Parts: sequence; C-alpha cells; structure tokens
Amino acid sequence: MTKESVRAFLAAQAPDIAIIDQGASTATVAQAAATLGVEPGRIAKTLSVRIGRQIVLIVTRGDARLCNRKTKSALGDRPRMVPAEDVAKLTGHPVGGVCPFGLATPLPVFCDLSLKAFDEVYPAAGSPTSSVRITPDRLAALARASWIDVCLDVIETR
Amino acid sequence: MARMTPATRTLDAAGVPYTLHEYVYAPGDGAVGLQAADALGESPACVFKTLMALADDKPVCAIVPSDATVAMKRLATALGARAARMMPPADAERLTGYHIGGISPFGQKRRVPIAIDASAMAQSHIYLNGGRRGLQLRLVPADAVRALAAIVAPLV
Repeated sequence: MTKESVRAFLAAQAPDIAIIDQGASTATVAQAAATLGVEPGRIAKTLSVRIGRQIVLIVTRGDARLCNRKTKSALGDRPRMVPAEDVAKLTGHPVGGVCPFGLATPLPVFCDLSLKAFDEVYPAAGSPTSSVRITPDRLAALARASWIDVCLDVIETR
Repeated sequence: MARMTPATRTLDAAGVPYTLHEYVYAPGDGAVGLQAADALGESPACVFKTLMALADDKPVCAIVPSDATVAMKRLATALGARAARMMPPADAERLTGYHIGGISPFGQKRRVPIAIDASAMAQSHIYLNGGRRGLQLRLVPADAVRALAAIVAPLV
C-alpha cells in the first residue's frame, strides 16, 4: 500500500528513478548496507522527530547520530523521537521503510549536510525491502527539503 | 540598503537562504497575496498571505495560500485554542510593526505563535511577504517552518 504511494510520487516527480527491491531487508541501516552492498553511511535514514509541537522528518547519512545541541540551534528545540505507531500513521510508511516521499500527511523535511559526503545515497522507498538510489541534491529537491547541520561528526573507522 | 526590512534581517541572521522579488504594489486593491501572485506570474498556490488573528484572544499568525480563506476553527485547533478570529488591521500593524500589505511573518515586533497551511510543504518554493508593500521573499517551505518555528497544519 505504502510503497505504492512512493511509486506514484516518483512516477509523477522523477520517472527516471527506479525503486530497488531485492526482497531482502533494508529495514535497518546495517541490513540495508549489506543487502545493497554499500557502506552504511550511504544509507539515507529518515528520522521522525518532534520539535516542540511540530513533527518533522530529518534525513541523515546512515552512520550519523542526531546532536541535540545542533538540532536545538537549527530547529529551535531538542529533538524527541516519535513513537513507531505514530510514525506509520503520519508518514504512511512502516518503520524500516520510512522515506520523505509519498507521505500520508505533509511534513516539513530537513536533510542533514552529512549526506553531501556521498555522490549517491539510498533512502528507503516506503517498505522494509525497498530503496532508491539518488543524489543528495535530488533527494532534497524532491522532498522539498531544507539543508541543515544537526548531526554529530561521523568518525571514519576505516 | 533600501531593500532591508526586519524580515530580511531576521532571515539573514538565521542563515536562511531566500531571494527577494519586487513588484508594483497597487494600494487599496485588497487581496495582497493574489495581486503579488499575478504580478510575479506565479500560481496563487505558492504565494502565501500572512494574516494576523486572535486565538482565544491571544495574537497569532496564520500563513495560507493567497487564493484560499483561512478556516478559523482549523487555525484555533492547530494552535491549541478553542476559537480564532481575525485581528483588527490597526492592531495587526501595531503588533507586527508592519503596514497592512507589508506584513511579513518574519521579524515581527513581537513573537507570536505561527501556523502555516500544510499545502506549503508540497511546493518546491513559496513566496511570503518581505515586510514591505511590493516586496516578496521566495524560499523553501521547510526553511520557512524552521525560521518561524511554525506549526504545519491544514488551515483552509
């Protein structure tokens, strides 16, 4: 049901982008990285957080963590995670498949600058086994997103 | 700079990217947003008007598409109030420090709760009043939400 909303969104806005579905799980960053054969950082994870009374989506590289202080300075308040059942209701996507496309309710979307370390990244596509490959700038443009700096610096381990 | 307004100063200070668009403002023509959309050659759906209202008698700000009418009940609900009504123009001018026709949601004299219609999130860019008659700001909707700490909700 929900992969269909992403498919419809992409068909209308970016018909050249194909949904990758390999049947195996891409629900967590580690699983997605293994399934797609890319480094975890390239998995673009979409976090649903509450800032004050407003729910927003923040897309970050897979191995990055939100920094409370930077989030407060960029968005005005500390980020609080949204309960999983609310995420499904608000985005229309099941946890593990949340992406900033084809949303059930219009939400403001922010992309963390950390994504720009890569030429291409892999956000989910509305289900726990699907994703798309996309440049960070295209991702932000399609999601009507604004670029912000809210993650802790990623320490490269290799 | 002649183009500087409290709105542009607020955006500059917050590091929010925007562009300025000027048009010839026709006084007394009523629908400021619609006139701006027409003058800029943009769809009214992406040119938003800024309205000052009272929600449970407290000042608030509503941002809706220029061709739409704000649903007062929805505005009240979005801001956690029971009822809302329009603010008299003279009060809006005094409270915001802007003139009617040039009321921007940014850089108002006093910070008030702000709600923006959810339809803005589907636009690649939106236009908002720049704080002077005949001046519009073009920016990414999520940037407007961030800079205003606005609540996103259906308001029309």
